[in-house]
Amino acid sequence: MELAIEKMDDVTVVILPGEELDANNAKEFKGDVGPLLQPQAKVVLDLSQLRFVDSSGLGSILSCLRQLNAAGGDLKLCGMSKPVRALFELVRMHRIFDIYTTRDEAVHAFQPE
Amino acid sequence: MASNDTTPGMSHTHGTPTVTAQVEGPKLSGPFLLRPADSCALVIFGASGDLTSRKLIPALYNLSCQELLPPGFAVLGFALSPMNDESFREHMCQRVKNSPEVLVFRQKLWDEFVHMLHYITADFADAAGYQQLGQRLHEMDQEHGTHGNRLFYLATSPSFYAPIAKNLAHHGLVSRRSGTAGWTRIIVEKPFGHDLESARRLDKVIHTVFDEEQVYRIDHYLGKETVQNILAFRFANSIIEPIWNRHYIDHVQITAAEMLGVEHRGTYYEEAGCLRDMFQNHLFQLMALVAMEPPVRHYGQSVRDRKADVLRAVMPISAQNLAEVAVRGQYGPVERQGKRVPGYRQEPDVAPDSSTETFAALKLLIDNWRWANVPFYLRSGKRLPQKLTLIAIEFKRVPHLFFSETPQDQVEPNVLTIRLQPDEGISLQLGAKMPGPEMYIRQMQMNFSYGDAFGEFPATAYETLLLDAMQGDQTLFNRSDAVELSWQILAPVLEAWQTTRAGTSFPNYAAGTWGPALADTLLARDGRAWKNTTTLPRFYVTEAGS
Repeated sequence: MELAIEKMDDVTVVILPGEELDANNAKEFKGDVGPLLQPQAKVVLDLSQLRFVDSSGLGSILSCLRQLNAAGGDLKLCGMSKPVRALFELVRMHRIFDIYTTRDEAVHAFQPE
Repeated sequence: MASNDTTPGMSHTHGTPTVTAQVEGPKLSGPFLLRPADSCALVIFGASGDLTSRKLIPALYNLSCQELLPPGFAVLGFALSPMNDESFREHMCQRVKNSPEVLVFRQKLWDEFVHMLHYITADFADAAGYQQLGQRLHEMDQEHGTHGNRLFYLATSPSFYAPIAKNLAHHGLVSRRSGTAGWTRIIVEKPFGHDLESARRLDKVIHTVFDEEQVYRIDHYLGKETVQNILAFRFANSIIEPIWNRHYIDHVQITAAEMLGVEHRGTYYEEAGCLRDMFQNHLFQLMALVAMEPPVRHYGQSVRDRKADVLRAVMPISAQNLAEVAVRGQYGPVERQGKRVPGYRQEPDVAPDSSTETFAALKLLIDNWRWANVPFYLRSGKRLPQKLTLIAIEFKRVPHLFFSETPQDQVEPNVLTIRLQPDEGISLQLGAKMPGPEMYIRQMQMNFSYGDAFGEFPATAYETLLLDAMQGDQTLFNRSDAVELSWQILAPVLEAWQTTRAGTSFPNYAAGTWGPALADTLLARDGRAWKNTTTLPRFYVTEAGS
């Protein structure tokens, strides 16, 4: 999986390629994103290209959040399509994650008030 | 736009040839069956103990994060350790922050949850504590909108169960019937008694205060996703039921193996032993789920009725056949890589001449139409080579050896393995022709892995069970008759082992091995062997007929 990565100040923005994150590629995603989940890391995951995520895909995103959270970092999500948002709500993960409409909003949310 | 109908499975290997199952993802338009939980106050007796901070509060926090708690909800801790609301909240916060059980710790979500936590310092036997409890519950009804509904959780030593139940009744804190005053339910942690008599005595006391419909005997094993999946696997797949009987199944094995020794639980374990600790509850429940007839519906009494039927049909063990169907063991010390692993008798709080069993194996027969003459072999032990809980269902061999004129002189039976831990999932062992000019048949596995299919979500057993209790759903809780039946099955073994304690030749297995040799004999006598691993044996080419 070729993750597009952008640096915006001290925030790492990861753009998920492809329209699907499911049992076919969730493990690969976890492996590829792993090196970015450093202690104290501020990461934004841009899901704007994603149209379908299943429970294994969602589990891999949750795993990123847990890993970052345990190491003093944080993960914010942005750009969710309606079906993806609907799945997050179905399994009640929408409150666990900080979800923003745009990438700029997500990056900005890392900045101190 | 991508389809949300199916998500093909991913290739996954465990060092053996593997065919990956296709896994269907959740459908956004599918029915969402969650029923609302009633507003209520949860009172935890023994709230300063390990269970509360390690399991209960993390589970409640997770439910809160997912907005699954009822609209009016509060927790009231009741224990002797001196704390107030503030110090209790701080203590719980520290534990939840570092808990592997929580989805993720977020301060804003904790802040939403923490105001629901309250605490009173009181003695379980002290009347003043129950007066204070009544007053605080009344206040919580006003403050949190808990509507007079009370869920009492006994997270204490079993010796306090009866006094707490009596005190609750004495102080007017129990409503036998739900009405305008609200409902009362009680969750009782295992062990449910120490033997048949003590279980009956405990039930008698509890039933003087609560009706059976108000009693929730919790066994967290039954809330595990993989355990619940046994029902889904059996009854949501039409190809399974026709072969799930004596015509096709040769025998069933259930193993719950621990690598650890008794650790810091010596005092408890000396009194309990393996049979009480694992068989009466966990292993018998797994056996019942594997062997039960199809229930009419998932909710209500149907599942519990069918499970009780299984326990009722287990053929009694007699003193005469005890040696042929029951094996006990105790681990001894061993030197490993220059390090000494202590034997059970060297563990803290264990008698140096202890005759308590740390390993047990039973052969049980279920005397009904479906399972006549199909043995169920159950075993559990401490200090075994790996942590492993699995159910292995071995099918009968093919009736005709079609390959007898080829180099293939035998065909292994199909084995369905349900892995409850680790690497949760289900595998089916099948024979397949190896590529090449000769007819060699090799065993391979079709494998379904929870981790691959559903991602790595934290354990949710207590979340499920707490929510069920708030919803008034007793399906995953043990019923009085099932508990009594379990003790009835074990009674002859417990009695015989008690009277022959002095005659044991303990220790009889070395730490890090699969138990005493007699456990292997138990199956070898029937021409069978334990499945000690979920991976397949190596394949050796042998000469035909050798």
